[in-house]
Amino acid sequence: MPALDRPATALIADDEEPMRDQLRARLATVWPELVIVAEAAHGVDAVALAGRHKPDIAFLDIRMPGMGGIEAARHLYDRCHIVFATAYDRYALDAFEQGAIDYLLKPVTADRLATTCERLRRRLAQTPQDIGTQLARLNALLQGDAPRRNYLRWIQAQVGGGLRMVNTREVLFFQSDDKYTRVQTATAELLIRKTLKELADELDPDEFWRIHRSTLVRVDAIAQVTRDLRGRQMLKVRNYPQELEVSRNHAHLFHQM
Amino acid sequence: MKERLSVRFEVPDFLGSAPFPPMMLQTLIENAIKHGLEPKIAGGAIVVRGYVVGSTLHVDVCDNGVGIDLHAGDGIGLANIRERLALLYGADAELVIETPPGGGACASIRIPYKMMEES
Repeated sequence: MPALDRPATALIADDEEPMRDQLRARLATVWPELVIVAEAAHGVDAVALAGRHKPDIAFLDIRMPGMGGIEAARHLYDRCHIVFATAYDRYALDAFEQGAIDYLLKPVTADRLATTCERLRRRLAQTPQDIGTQLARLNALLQGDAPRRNYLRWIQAQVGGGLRMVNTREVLFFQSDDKYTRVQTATAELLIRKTLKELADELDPDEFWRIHRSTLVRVDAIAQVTRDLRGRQMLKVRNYPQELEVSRNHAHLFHQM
Repeated sequence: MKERLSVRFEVPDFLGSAPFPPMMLQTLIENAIKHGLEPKIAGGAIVVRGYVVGSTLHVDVCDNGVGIDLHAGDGIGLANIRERLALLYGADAELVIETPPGGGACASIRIPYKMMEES
């Protein structure tokens, strides 16, 4: 991008109209020559409008419906300078500090905006930096608090015409019946077609333990394990009368201290 | 978000004074906005319905959003409601979550309802 002999142009993307208005107003004060060529309410629009208007700068809100700011930036960073606007707290902001990525904390103060604009003015003479790697890392940081989030958290059971959604926190245990798997909660018993094997693969292994070929029990729901007269380990579930047998193969889970 | 959201209440007058635990409705509406409607570009609608079936008061919060991500945690919100319902009503109350065939999500709180409480 050669040094500009025309006023710089910018796009503003934020799903909240008052936020766009505020940023536009503040920009008009700290950088009166800057021309706002387009405004978008989500990432898809931002990318399309940036294609049409070719702004020098894109102010992108991180959290927008459909396509967020980071995803939009991945489409745009080789064509314009990116500044993120975010309402994330201090902790998450550390993620931004590490890279060449510029950001504004919402609500945007005039002081902070002036600093950012000053930096942008200097950068406008240069080609936008390649921030692809930083964006990917930032995305991963903001997305995932943990790998745990990919475990199955909701069980779907057909009830009447609709689908009943049972959160795994409600489930006391799963037990395989002939054709179905029984889902037992404190208040309801539901049947689903997913097999115990499938459930065991998809559920968080720290949340549910296999105690028998036909039983998966929620660890938090276990009240106690005792031995019956025949020496079998029997598991008692909190708030539920039925005891569950622990098979010999899984007895190691409950070895005495 | 405001311009993409519509909220409608369908609660008959006689239920206007029915006792209902505080803050539960808030949580359900927040959930509907945050998980159901905010991710949806077109926005959407929330309908809050109150009605009585037999001796049970149903309060439903339904949205026409993106539905429920099977891998997204329940958060503290719903777990909290469930816990409080159990404390207040034991086994007589429940929180039921459903996804209707047309899409979106419905959360329904069901608590015991006594008619003519004051008289």
